[in-house]
Amino acid sequence: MTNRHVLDRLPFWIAGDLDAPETEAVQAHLNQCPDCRAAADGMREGRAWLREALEPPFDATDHARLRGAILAQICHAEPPRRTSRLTPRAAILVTTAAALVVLALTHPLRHLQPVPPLPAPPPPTGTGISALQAASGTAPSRPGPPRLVRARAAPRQTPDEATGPTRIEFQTSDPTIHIIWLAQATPRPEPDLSQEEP
Amino acid sequence: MSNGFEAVLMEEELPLRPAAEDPLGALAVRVLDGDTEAFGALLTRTQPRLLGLAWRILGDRDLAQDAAQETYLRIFRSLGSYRPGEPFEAWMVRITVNVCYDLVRKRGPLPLPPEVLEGLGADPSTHETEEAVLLRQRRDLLHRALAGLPQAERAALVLRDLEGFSTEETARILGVRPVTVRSQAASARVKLAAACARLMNPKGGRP
Repeated sequence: MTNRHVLDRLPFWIAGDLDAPETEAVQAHLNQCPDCRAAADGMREGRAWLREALEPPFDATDHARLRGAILAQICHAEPPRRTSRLTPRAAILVTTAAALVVLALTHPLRHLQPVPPLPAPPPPTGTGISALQAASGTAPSRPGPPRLVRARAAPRQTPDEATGPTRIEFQTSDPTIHIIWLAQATPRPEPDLSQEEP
Repeated sequence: MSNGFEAVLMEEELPLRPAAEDPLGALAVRVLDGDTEAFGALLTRTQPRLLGLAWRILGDRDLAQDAAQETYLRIFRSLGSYRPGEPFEAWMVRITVNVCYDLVRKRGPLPLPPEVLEGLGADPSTHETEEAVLLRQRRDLLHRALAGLPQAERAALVLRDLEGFSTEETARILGVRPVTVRSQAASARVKLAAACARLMNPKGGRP
């Protein structure tokens, strides 16, 4: 590692923002390079000066005055109320689930075969219902589109199966159309602690 | 729903902690339950830090006090959206930073604080000892260097190096990626180190 490399990494090294191998490499270089060590000492001193220079200048009087002003305004403010709040990820999941449900409900309607026009009814010659329908001018009713007859979630999982996918099934009136929706939650990633300040 | 699903919902938020580990969060819940006196206790515990943070970001006493007042009002009004278990302090700091940004946006670039301007013109031959003069000059120079930093770099530096937040926490508070915080804070450190070098060696060259 050259002096230039080390000097470029010092602002990260000093706050523990390098990964372990780089931290070790910088440390090894500092142990044998007086110039870079002096730069590191200067940066460390600069941090101490910064803390000293940015020590807040407020005293008890300032705090008391501010507290009084805040409480006076709070007295006249509307009391806070709990609101439900979705995280961005939850909002996406809910929207996706809603879209899937709508898709599942409308899917059978999108795949209806066009019904061919019925032939013209023959002249009323016979008797019975067809003759009555023909006389009254009403056509025989067509079969309607397949309707959703059943939508059910899979049985509740046991705790051991809690990490598995959630299964929701829809059965339409058409026995050949059976909709199964699987929702899989992903586990939460572990935080990367290696980059934290030592 | 399974715990795994719940974990996904909370992935992008700060980690939840039991109320017993977060006394500030417990106070916030009491305020939500109608105990408005708990807000006074919340104020007592957080005001010095919050006011100091606003001053460090804004660099001006009066503006910092305005920011702190506005922040507490915003906290009170927004308590309903606070999720019990979320670290309250980080939630509060996020609001403070946003209020400070709003103030800067409204007022434009911040001038140097009056005390720094007074210090720059002061006659060093008065009753001050040499050490006191050096201290004041150092402080004034650092304030000038800080005032010259971009707002994002200044906030990253303050949260990371002065307020004691980790890179990850700072990133969540500022709503940026951790790598951005590392880069912004490092850039600010380099600029401040250069300012310190000028102080040590005002005629130029490296210290």
